[in-house]
Amino acid sequence: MTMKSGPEEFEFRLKQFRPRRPATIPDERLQRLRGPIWVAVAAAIAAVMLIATWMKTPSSDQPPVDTTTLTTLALERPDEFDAALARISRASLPDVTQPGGALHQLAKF
Amino acid sequence: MNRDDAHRLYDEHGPALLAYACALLRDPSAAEDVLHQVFLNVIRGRAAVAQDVKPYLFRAVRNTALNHIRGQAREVELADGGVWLESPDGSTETALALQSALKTLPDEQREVMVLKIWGELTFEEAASVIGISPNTAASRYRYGLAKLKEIWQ
Repeated sequence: MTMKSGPEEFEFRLKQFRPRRPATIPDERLQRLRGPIWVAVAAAIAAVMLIATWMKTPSSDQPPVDTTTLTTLALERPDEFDAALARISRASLPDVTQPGGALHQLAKF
Repeated sequence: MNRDDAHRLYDEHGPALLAYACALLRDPSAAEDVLHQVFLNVIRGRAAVAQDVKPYLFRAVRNTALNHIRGQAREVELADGGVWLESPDGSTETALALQSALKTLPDEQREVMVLKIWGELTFEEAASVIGISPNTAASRYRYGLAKLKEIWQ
């Protein structure tokens, strides 16, 4: 073994210290999924909120909405057809007769 | 470069690159984040790895670390954040003493010293990483070594 002196010896001593091993690289696939995971979570929250809102909406009599049923009613039972149209309009159109409604506003002119 | 190659490089050069990042950032936790960022970019193919891999990796760590520093609104003077050197006798105290001594060196001297001693780069390679001449790198190294010897011993 050769004797070292001065800076060389000091350099040798420093080299005896080893840099510590870093932690393993985080899983790049998980890193890549991080964005889509947040999007999925946000979409799930939005879906839950939509469903909750929909479930809170008061249910109304389900009027016949398909055109085949309405056509059959119009041809065979005109009275029931009129009643069905009335139910549909009550369920789907705003109530214009309520105070402050469209008719009241128009009546002012 | 595929995933296995990147992991092989990480195993081989990770400790020296971490030491270099620690020398630049003085915060082992931030240094590890920087190192991971560099390797994740390599794995994802966002970084075109040069032929001369080792100096390239040190350069990538340097650039990412400097970006990290620039990203901080104000560089906070960090306390000893942890051990990034391991003493031959396993003493944490000795390792921390050397780290503290290294911290007192001017940044440019500490940088060259870490590249040369623990990165095992030549002066030419270290100079290319930093963007200085090999003579300047050698001179910084000599001054740093002398100063460290004076402080630490």
